Amino acid sequence: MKKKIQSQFYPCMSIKLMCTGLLLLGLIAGAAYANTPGSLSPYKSVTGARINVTGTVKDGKGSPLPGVSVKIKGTNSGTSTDANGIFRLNLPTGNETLIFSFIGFTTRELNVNGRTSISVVLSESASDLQEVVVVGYGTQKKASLTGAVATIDVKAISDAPVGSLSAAIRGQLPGVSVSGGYSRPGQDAQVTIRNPAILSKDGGDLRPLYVIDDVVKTENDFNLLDPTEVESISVLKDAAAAVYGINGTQGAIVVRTRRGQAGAPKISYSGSIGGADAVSLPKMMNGYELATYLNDYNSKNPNATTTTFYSPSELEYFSNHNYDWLDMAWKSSIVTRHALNVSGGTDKATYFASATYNYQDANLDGISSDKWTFRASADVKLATGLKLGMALSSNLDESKMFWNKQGSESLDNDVLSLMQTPQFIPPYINGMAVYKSSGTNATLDNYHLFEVQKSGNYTKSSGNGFNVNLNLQYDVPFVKGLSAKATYNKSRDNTWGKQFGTKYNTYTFSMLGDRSHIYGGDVVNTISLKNGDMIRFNPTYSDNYQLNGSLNYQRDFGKHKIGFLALFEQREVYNDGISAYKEGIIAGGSDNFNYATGSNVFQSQSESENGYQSVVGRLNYSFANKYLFEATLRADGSTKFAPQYRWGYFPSFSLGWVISEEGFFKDNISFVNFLKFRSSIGFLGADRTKSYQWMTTYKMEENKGAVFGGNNGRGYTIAPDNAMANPQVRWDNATNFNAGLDATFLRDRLSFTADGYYNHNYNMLSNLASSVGVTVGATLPSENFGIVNTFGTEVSIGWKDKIGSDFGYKINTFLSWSDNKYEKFDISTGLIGSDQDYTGKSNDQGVYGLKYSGMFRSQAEVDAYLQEHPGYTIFGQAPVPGMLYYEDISGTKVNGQFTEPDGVITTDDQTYLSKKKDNHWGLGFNWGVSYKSFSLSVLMGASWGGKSVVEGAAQKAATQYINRPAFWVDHWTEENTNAKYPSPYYTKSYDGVTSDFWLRSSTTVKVSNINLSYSLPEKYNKTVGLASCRLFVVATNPFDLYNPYDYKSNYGAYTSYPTLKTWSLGLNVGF
Amino acid sequence: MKIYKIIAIASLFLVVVTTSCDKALDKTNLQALDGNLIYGDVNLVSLNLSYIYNSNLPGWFGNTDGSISGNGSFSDESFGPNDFLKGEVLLTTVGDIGTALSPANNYGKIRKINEFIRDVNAGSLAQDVKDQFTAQAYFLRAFRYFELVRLYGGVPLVLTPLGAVGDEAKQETFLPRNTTSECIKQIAEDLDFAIAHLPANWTNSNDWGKITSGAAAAFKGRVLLTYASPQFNPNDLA
Repeated sequence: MKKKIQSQFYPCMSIKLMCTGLLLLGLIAGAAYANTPGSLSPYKSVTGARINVTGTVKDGKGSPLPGVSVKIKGTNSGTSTDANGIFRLNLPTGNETLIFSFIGFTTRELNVNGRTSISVVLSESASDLQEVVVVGYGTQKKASLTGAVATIDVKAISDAPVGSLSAAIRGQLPGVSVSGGYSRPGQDAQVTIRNPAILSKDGGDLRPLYVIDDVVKTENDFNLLDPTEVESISVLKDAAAAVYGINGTQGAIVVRTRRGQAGAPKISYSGSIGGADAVSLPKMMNGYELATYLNDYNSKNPNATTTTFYSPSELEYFSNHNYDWLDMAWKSSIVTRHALNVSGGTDKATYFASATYNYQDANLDGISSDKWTFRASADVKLATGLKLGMALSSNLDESKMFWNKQGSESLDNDVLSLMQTPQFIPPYINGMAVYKSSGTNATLDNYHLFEVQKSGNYTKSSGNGFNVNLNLQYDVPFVKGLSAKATYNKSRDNTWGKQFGTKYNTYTFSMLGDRSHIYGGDVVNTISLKNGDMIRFNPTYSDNYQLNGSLNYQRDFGKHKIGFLALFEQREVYNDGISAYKEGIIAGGSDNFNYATGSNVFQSQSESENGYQSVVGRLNYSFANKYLFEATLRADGSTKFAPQYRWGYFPSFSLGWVISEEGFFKDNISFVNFLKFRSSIGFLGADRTKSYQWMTTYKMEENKGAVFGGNNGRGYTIAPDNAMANPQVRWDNATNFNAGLDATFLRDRLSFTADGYYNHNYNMLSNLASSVGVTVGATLPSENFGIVNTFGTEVSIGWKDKIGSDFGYKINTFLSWSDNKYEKFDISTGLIGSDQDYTGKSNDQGVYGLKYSGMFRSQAEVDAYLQEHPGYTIFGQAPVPGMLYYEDISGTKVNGQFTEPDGVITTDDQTYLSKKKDNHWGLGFNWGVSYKSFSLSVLMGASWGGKSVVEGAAQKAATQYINRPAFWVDHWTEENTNAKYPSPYYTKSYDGVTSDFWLRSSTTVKVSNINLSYSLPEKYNKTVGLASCRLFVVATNPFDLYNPYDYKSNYGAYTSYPTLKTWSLGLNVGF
Repeated sequence: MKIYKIIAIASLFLVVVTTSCDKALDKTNLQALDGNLIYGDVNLVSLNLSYIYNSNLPGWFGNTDGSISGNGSFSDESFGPNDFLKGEVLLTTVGDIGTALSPANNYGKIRKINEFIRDVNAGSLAQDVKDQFTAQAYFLRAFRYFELVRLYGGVPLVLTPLGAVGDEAKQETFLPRNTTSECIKQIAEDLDFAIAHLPANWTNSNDWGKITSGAAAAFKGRVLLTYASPQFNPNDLA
């Protein structure tokens, strides 16, 4: 039964009124059009007074420029140039001023002065200030922006051989961080803008809002885009995102996809093919080293018997017979990308169509990922001022990985099990798979990936999506500058998830060697291991639409420029999915229900629906391009909250002052070409939490009931959900403040941008697990509770110049810093007032651990130490040689406060070991040079400020079934007292004990991308009939300039899929 | 000609606007059961009670929720060293019983019982039917509290589901311990309710195994005996 919830009706009414108004206008227009017979094209004269003007627009080299926008100043009417750079316009008086604008060129204004033929030359803009930037629901000139809006140079990322668009924008902008995307194929990168904070653990994330062609989309939709399908990407970092209300708190990424441009069909192809390999594979102990290590380990172990130890002859054998499983499975892989598109049309209708293909196989046989995208759009002028835009886009994508069901299910268990297998174990003996641990249960330790590869186990997700975008735009006659627009977007997506796991046989052997440690001999036992042993399906379906209706008014009154936008937006999201499985795959059976002998199990259904409605108003005002002002107000309704808390109101204000336009400045300071101060404040909100937390819900479960009355099976049960309801749950609030300045100097060659931001998040939805007594007995709901301030600065400096006509160079550097302050959050009562209570401070207080004093190298050292510290123990263990020891700084803490040292080491002796844990400083250094037809661009980045701890898996002791990193070779023994690492047996003194001993620098210095390209000179292009031709070599992650680790790369934990570097060769041709 | 096309396109938008507008914010949680449907239906209430029975069944080694389970790992037959045998047990070695908020520990189970009593009484069943259902829940609540009292003595008594949203409600969850005598009194009261409203035997064979008034009375006897035993009454006061 659906519970009827009375939605508030007034915004709904307003949209109806607005849309109806829009339609009426459309109809009037149609009628007006129908009543003026013969007015087939806008430039034909309808009244005697009007004047026809034709003209050509060329660039500095004299080539015609197609697609240049030509507008009559102070109106919305105009045209654009055709393929030959020619435009025709019908002017009311012949004395109007025309505005010529084109991306990448300086906008020019020209008074017609009664001429009927005009020739215009546009010069390439040295600075991008004249560039038109896409902002929320519209565009703005970069010079007149009042918010922190950054744009990504789409050309610069279009060669990137990556599977997701997020990965392609890495290292391009300050304050935009991208993680992942360069390791396992099919796993996308993730973007965060500035340093967002979130306290809610249910359904919230740190991602920005993605808006594609004015439609709210998911991160996945963004990642599926190919760079060649994209016209522009803007990143709204501050209150500029307030116009999007919901979730604008964490910034917004606004994308415009490419549309057709008037002219003869232009076909372009871009493709690349290359190889990918690990930056470096983790270095693990080899078989001999591990066996030696285990002997040293067991020499301290009282339970060890003679047979536990590896004999000298066995060690000798291992040194000659080593099996590096990861190395055997690993190979270099192929990365390829192809994009083909065509664009063209007349000034009445234009079209664009594109198809792209992206494929990457993996470094392990059996993993791959591919992606197809298709896009077709048409823009048609239906009548004077009436434009219809249609776009269809679709995607097909598939990623296939191993289904690692042994141990806890995790994608990274494929590489992890390979690297953790001791290298004295051969994968096969006489063609029979070796069982590599004890017991008979299937665990991660005995996971045999080669057998799993053979049995064809996989987890696969195939997605297809279809999206339709229709929009109708109408320039209202009689009211100069007023236009109306309606957009309707519909999308449906399906994913087909299929998982297949089998059983496989492994064998134990009688073992060779004088102490039976060498794998071999006769087969003793067959052990069947179960890697899932099931076939499982989890298809999902989603159905979304979004509807926008807007009125836009833009007009200049002398030096006053006014813009006004009123908009209604409504969207609904529906998701459904089921999962079902069948166990008992027969040996050799294929991935089909017919080959499974178990019963059919229908596991679960996941169905959900959500709705949003929004009303937006925006006012822009500028005076003489000097004083800029913008105000927005957005009201959002979200079904995630109870009806009475549903609506949130989010205003924002921003100001800009272009000092360089002031007379006193212009006349006196000549080396500054442009200087603008801007500031914005936005009162935003977010609904990043689980839906329907306001309702008490109940769940029905199968096979959970108690059994009554004989031999019945366990029946259904009903119970309230473990999580409580919070009827008062509502929007997070955030006040985002930003101040910045933009400047260009020395003939626009030097550009400088600085921003500082302070975001005050309050009423943050938080899980308050530790703030109540255990007597509650339920999982707590999110609550509007927390206060977290985040702040930071971003500075970027660019220099762009040419030396002579052949040599050009540019440098773009940026520096960013960020931190936060937790004013109010969930802290357990036991920690209040303790050194771990970071209320009023940054949540990054550094690494918390023990102060490392040293390693006991000999019994004499231990004795001397005990003399000074009688009764000294480390986690209950008396010190012995080969142990690490720590400084005793406190006894049992009382009310979280340190007390007098008690002579023993416990967790109470922990304190902060470094100022910061994470890197709070980031530097980007991107540069490029071009000489004649060659150009080179390099992306470099660095980050610093934190300290990392060697990951927990590396700290653990190795066993005869689990291998550990190679640094353990240098461990303490009686013979090697100067070792770097402790005696492995005393795990309590080092395993999981965070201390200075395990600290490493977190500094990173990397070259993340190199692109070298060569464009074929025009004269050669002509002879082969091409419009353009460019060859390029692109490398990702080519050089890592600093690595504090000796056993892994500086790209994260060694236990996950290694980060890859790729080298690709590409071709870009235009016809 | 053209005007018809324009009208057609405009109508398309009009249709979309008018049909979808009102319903956009009329949504519900499709992943859960609506509570209003449950507590007027005897069968559905039984399913809820079945959940409570199941979650309160004793485990193999008695009701020990802590990490120390009675197996051989504490004997010298045990293979492999552990902290207990090495004599290195610290305060933090043993994860205590119910230190974290969990629906699975004693107070989590008590909450489910309290919610059941609240929901059944708020439902539309006849009073005697309600009483028979709640009587079983009262028995199980007494059973739970007896487990706690046996181990810890007096514990905080929670008899209605606690709220936890807002500062005031949070403060109210930090309950002081009730005295042992208060706890025993409450247990006896719950059992008295069960004895009064439960049948001596269940006529329908599908109900066999459920608590009867006799079982409740016997359990009350055990509770009171324990309370009178030297564990709680070392000086053997009358």
